[in-house]
Amino acid sequence: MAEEGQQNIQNLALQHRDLQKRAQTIQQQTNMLQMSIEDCGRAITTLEDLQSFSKNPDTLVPIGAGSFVNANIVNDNKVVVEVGAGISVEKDVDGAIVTLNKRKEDLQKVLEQMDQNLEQINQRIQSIESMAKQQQPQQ
Amino acid sequence: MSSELPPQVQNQLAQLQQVQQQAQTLAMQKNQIESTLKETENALEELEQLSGDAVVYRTVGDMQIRTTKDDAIVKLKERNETLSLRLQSISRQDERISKRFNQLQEQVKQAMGTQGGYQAQ
Repeated sequence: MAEEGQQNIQNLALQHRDLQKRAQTIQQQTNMLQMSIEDCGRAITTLEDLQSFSKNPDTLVPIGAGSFVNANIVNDNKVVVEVGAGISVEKDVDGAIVTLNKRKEDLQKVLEQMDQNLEQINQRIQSIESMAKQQQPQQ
Repeated sequence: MSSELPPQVQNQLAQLQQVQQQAQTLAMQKNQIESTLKETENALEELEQLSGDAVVYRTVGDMQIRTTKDDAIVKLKERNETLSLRLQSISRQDERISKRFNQLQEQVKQAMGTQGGYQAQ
């Protein structure tokens, strides 16, 4: 009987470790998704802000380490947007914002789904922990 | 735990773990291909909506090279075909592995029935 209890505990520990690994993976993926959503948001804000400037404003483009070079925005109504699979297309600003907003929404849906999965896994982890606690006094 | 089990069951358990790992690897590969396929289909959908003279770029290494809408569509369709074939092949492997997994799980369950306690996952 004690041996059976020990096996159950070991089995629960294995499940616990497996679920924790899965939760960790999902957490990493959700962090990356968050970053992509923020990236879309930044691109949208940039395009919207650019429209509030006069034509050909003095522009500085970052080259890293807080350094900039002077640049001209040759055509401020054309934006090249990646549409996936290594393809980018030129769009007007409004079209680009629509595409970026759609991408952001799609990513948010995936994020919500992953958050739900993570919650379910965490619930299972908690239930395994309480099952393990219940088993311990039997030994 | 496993040191107290008969050698035959230990062997079956080891095989079960190995098959489970293979199944997990395959599932990851399948997910990756499916999401790349979806991405390609979305890009194709975007391209189909453009006019014939639209400005399109294709990523080559770190560069963006200008191409035509038609050329981009041809390239994406080729990519789609390759991915679909890989997906078919992985799905077949996945089926085989799942069958083997169920078979081994059944054998282990039967063997453990007399030992008690263990639940194969």
